[in-house]
Amino acid sequence: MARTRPSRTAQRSHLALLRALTEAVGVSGDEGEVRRLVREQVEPLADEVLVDALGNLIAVRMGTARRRVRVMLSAHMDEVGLMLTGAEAEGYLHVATVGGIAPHHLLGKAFWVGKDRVPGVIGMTPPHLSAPGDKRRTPGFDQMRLDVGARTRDDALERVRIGDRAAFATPLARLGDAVSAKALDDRLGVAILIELFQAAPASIDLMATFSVQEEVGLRGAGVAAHRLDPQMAIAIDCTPARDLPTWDGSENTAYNTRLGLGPALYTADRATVSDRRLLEHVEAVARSARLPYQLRQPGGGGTDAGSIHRARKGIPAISVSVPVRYPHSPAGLIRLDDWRNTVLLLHAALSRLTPESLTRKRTAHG
Amino acid sequence: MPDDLLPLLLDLMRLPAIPGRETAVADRLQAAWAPLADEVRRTPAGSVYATCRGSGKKPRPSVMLTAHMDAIGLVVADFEGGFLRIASAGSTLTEHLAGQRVLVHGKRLVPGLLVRPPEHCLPPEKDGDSIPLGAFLVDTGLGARQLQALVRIGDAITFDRMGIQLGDGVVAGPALDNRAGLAALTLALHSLSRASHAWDVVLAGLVQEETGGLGARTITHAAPPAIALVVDTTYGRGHGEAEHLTFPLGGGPSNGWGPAAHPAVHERLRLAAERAEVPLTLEPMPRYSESDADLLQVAGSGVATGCLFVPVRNMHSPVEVVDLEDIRRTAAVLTEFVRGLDDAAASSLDRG
Repeated sequence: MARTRPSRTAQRSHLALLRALTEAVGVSGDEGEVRRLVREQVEPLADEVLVDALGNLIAVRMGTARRRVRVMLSAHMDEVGLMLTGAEAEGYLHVATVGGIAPHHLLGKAFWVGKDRVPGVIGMTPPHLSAPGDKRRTPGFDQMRLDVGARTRDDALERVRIGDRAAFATPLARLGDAVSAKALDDRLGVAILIELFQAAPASIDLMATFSVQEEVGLRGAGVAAHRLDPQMAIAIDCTPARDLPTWDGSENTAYNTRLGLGPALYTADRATVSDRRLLEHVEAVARSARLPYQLRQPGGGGTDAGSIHRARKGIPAISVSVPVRYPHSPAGLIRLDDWRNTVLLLHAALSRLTPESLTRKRTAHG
Repeated sequence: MPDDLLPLLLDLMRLPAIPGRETAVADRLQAAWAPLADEVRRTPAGSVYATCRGSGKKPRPSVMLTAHMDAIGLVVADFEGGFLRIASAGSTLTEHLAGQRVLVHGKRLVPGLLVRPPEHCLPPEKDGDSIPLGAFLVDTGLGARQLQALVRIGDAITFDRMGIQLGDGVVAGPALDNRAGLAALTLALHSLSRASHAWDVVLAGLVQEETGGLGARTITHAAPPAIALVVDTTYGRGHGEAEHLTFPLGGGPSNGWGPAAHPAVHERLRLAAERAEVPLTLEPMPRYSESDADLLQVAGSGVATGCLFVPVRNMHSPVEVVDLEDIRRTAAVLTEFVRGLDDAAASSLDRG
C-alpha cells in the first residue's frame, strides 16, 4: 500500500464510501442496509462470501504466498439508535435506546425512522411551561417522545410501526481536516476493512468479518470466529478521544486517546487483554515504517476482540481503533490523517505477519 | 388553498438572524414584499417595513402588522485551543445543545459541531444532567491558528439544520419562532394586494425581540400606526404539557387578552376570525404578552395593540414544530381584520 498521500481521486472515493456507509441506517439487529453496501464492495474480489444466521457478512480472500497466516479482521456494521416501543393516543411514539446513548443526545434532534426513513423529532418542553421550582433537568428516556407530526395513534401507525428502528438524521460533513458523521463507530472500521480487503497482502488468508450486534454486547463476532477458526484476529473499531480542554484548565489525564496521534492500539479494555505478541508486532512495524500510533489508555469499553478471543480454544487478538470524538452521539468527528494512518499501519502489520509472529514464546510479561 | 407557504417558510427558516444580525431575513422580506407594496424601507435599527396605501380618504389611519425577524442563537465567546466557547444571543436553552451541527458566521461560514465535553472535563457541581452554557464547546475540526484567522469573538453561531416536513402540512426545524409569524404576514400581504382596504397597511419585520425589543421600541416612530397587531408564536401543545398553558397544533391561532391588548382590537380580531371562518382561541395574558406588544403599546404616545399567536411546539429548540394550516389561518384573520377597518373604525378605539 502506497505510503504517499492518497490521490485526490482516491480520497474522494474513500470519502464517498464513508458517506454512503455512515448515512446508511443499521441499528443493532437490523444491519441489512449496511450489509448490502459492504457486499457490493467485497464480492468482486472475494473467494467466498457468506452471511451467517446472525447476519455477519464474512468475505474470504486467500493469499498467494507459500506460507500464510489465517487472519480474521472484524469491523462491526451496527450502530446505536432507537426502537419504537409504543404509540400514544395523541400520536407520540415511545422509544427505547439500542446501545449506549445519553439522554441529552436525543433532545432536540431529528431522526430517520424505519425502512422509509420517515422524519421524526424528539422535542422538549419549554422552560416557561415547567412547574415553578421544578429544577431544569434533562428528561429521562421515559419522558421523551418521538414526534412524526401525527395527530392520532392511527395516523402515526400508518407511517411507522412499533419495532421500527430510528437513527440520528445526520448527513456526513467535512470540517477542516476532519469528517463529522453519525455511526463513525464503526462504519469507519467497515470502510477501513473494505479497503484492506481490496488491497489484501499476499502473506495472509484474509477472513473479513463485517459483524452485527457489537453495540448490544459483542454478539456477532464470536460466532464468526468460531466458524472461521483463525490463527489470530484484529478488531478494527473506533475508540473515544476524550481529549477536550477541561473546565478549569487543569491537565486532562483521562483522554483515552487523542485526535491526530494516529491509530490507537489496545493493551487492555474491559473485555480483552490484548495478546502481547501481536501488540509488539504492530508496534515494531509502526516504528520501522515510521507510522504514528498511540496506546489507548487501559480501562472500560470493549470491541469485537472481546468475543473473538474467547472463541474455540482461545484466539490471539488485539484491537486497533481510530480515535473518534463524540461517538454514540448525533455526530462524531475523526481526523482524515488518523484514518489514513490506521489503514497504512494495519496494511503494513498484516504484510509482515509470518507464522512465527505467533509461535514466539510468551515472555514473563505476556 | 394552494399557495407558496411551504417553500417560503423553509427559506425563511434557513436564513440566519440572531438578535442584532437580522439583515439576511430583512433582505428576503424586502424581496418578497416590494412587488406587492407601495414602498419598502429600513429603519436605522435594522427593521424593515412595507407600506400599502389604502383607499380611504385622507388623513388615513394606518394599521401595522408586525413580526420579529430574530431568533435565539449563540455567539463566539472565546477561543480554547482549536475549540470555541459560546455565549447566548437571546435566552438559549442548554438541554438540546449536545451534538447539534452549527454554522459559525466568520470571515466565511465555518461548519462546526456543538459538543458537551466528556464528564471529566466538566465542572464537578452539576444540576442533574444539565451543564452551564459556558461549559459547551464548538469543535470545528480546525487548528487554533486557522480558526483564529477565520473567526472573531462575537461572531454569530446558528443551528445548521434545515426545516423538514413531518407528514402532511407539519414542519419542524429551527427559528419557527418567529419565521412562522413572518410567513403569515407575507401571506396576508398577498391577499391584501388583491383586495381593497380603506386604511394604510404597514408590514414590519422587527429586530431584537429576543433581547429587549429594539424593533418594537423604535418602529412606530418611523411609521406611526393607530393599531398595531403583533404576530408571534405561542406554546403549541407538546407531550405531557398542561392543557391550560398550551394550544393544540392545528387548532388555529390564539388572540391575546390582557393589559397588553386593546379590548376593541381584541374584539375586532375575534370578529375577523368569525368572518374568515377560522377557529381562534382566547389566550389569557394576565400581566404581559411576552411579545413585542408589551413595548409597542407604550412606544411614543401609545398604540392600540392586538396579539395573534401561532402555536409552536418545542419552543426555543431547533426542532420547533408548526402546523402550516395555523399559519394560513393567521394570515386569513389578519387579512379580514384589515379589510374590516373602515373610515369610522378609528373611533371604535375610544376607551369611553
